[in-house]
Amino acid sequence: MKHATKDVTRLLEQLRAGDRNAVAELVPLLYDELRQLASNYLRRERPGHTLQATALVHEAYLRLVEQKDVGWQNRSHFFGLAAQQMRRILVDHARNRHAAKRGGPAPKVVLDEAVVVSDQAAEDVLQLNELLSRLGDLDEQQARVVELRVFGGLTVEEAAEALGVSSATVKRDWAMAKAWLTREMQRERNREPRGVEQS
Amino acid sequence: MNREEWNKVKDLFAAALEHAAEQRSVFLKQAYGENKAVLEEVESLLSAHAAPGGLLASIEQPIFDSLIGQRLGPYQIIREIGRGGMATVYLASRADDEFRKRVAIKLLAHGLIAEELVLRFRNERQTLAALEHPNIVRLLDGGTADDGLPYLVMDYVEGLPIDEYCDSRKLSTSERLMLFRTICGAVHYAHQNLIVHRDLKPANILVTSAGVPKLLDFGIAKLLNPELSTQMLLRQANMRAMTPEYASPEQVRGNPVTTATDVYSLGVLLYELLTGHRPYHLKRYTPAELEHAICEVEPEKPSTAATRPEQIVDPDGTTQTVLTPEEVSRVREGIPEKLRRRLSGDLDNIVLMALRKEPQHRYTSVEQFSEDIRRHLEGLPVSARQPTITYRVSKFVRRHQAGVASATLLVLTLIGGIVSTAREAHVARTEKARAERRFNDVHQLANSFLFQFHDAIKDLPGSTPARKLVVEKARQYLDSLAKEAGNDASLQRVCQFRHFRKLY
Repeated sequence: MKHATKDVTRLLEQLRAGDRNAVAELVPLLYDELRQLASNYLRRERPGHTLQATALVHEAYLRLVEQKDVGWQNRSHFFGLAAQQMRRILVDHARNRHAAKRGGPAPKVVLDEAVVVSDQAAEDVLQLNELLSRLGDLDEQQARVVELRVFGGLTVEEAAEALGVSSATVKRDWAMAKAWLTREMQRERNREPRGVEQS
Repeated sequence: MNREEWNKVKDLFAAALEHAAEQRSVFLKQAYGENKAVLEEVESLLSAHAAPGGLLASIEQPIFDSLIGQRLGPYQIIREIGRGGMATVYLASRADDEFRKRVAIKLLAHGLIAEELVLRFRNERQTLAALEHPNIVRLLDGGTADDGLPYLVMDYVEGLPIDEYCDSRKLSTSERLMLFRTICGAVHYAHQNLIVHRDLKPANILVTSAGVPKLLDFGIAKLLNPELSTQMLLRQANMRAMTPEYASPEQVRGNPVTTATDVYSLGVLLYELLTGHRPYHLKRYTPAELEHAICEVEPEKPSTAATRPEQIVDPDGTTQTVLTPEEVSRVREGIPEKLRRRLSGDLDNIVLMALRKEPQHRYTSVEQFSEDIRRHLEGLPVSARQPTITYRVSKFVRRHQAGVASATLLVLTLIGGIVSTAREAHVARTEKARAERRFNDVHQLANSFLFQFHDAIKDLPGSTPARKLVVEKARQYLDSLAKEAGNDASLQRVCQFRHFRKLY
């Protein structure tokens, strides 16, 4: 625990100093921690609730980073990377659930055997993931802003820091991305009868 | 839609949002009438923008929102009244109680298996249950929700945070001090029960409409009870839960927290109540800046702070407001000059005494702090003094440890150098004097041999060989002395033997 904390703090420091190799080392650490937390979380989750990604990322942050030594910029970088991993974990999990429900192939990633997540939440996650990928083709930065805000829980200012753009830009991107996603969702709901969806 | 069109949509969408909702379609037609596809896209996005909720809302939705209207044990949840880092607070009423007594329920906000949080929460139950004081919010009950998360039931207090209360009632400095002393009484009571609050701040001190202050949230209180403190220390290493601006230097540094920590936070609170300013001026709220401000920077005297305009930056770094002396004194003593006079002297000293960086230099207890305020209110001399020269020097030394150390080292080296040089010089001088003395002795001896001894025996019969020997020996000595004399001409002259040659 202490060891990992030291590592993450050091890696974030390297990242800020411009060492891109630090990312390669950070990602598995983040992924493991988040997955562990998600699995713990799901074990005690009540039916009908969505997985609260931002809470998980904050929790991971508290666990992995020695806050005293980490500057504000490092914090943004951490959340930026964690948001990506969180998205991956949620999507994997939702896919497994989906596959299990249909009696499909054995899931690749098993978070926990006692997982309870509502079907609706799993579908929401898959749908958001799908739409985000599409948005990413149109506008990469907007998709990234949504990822940071929704999966990482970053504030506008933090997202701006993580992306290296102004807060005003993030606000604009966020507003438009939200509108776009909402509209696409409405369109899909209108097009498809409830319960059928892509994966 | 190609990239160029997309960028147009982006610009237009952002520009349209600058306008009021009902003017948007007019604006769009004027600004961009010709490209139908772009226009339709923007319009459809704008209508989606106005639509409530959607998928993102469901993802961001806090997990306990569904609790509203539900029952938790015997309590019916009415609405959310507050949300903190680790818990959500609800207003509730006892469902089986005909009086419908209203209570506040504090429930762990995370659905996470954060053992630290659960442990801390359980601890709060024990801590609060031990306290019975009219100015401390009473713990009524505790339980576990269906999903295993613990919750606390407390008296519901309707009131304003103390700073807002004081300003809204335009309390004078003396009235503020009296209210503050009541709070000190409650904190002192907790200290006697070995409980340190650790998070005293206006939001945790509510004042009822009857003017009774109530201390809330002993949530991160640390029991001084040694059995429990080990656990607490372990937790502290992982999660430093505190409100940075009211935190003491020892909390920021992660050093042991004692009752002196509450003295400090109360000092920050009093500073703010009396002056409307915080003791620190922060610009970016980075951890480094906070640490520097809290651990290094000496706060300004309250009387100075109150009468100086200050630019205040919000923690998110976006909004800036200017706090003027007129604004500050309007809700206190009327005019800035009057407020300045009221604060300077005793109150400056009392507040700064509570805000000393080192716990041991603060008031030794909250009671003593409160007592000093009482003495001030009654016109008696107070124990707080302006920092003495010795105190300031020691502060300076501590602040600039490295600098002072190297300066001291330099001075010591210099002194050492001077002393040893002086010593060597002294030794050299002594040696030289001794050498000169010996030189003179030998010279005298040789001369006396040469003249007195030689003259005394020259008339004795058969003394020629002896005289020859005497002269010869004296000459040898004087010669060797002349060599030793080196380049010293006067010495050489003394030792010249040449003129004695004629004797033989």
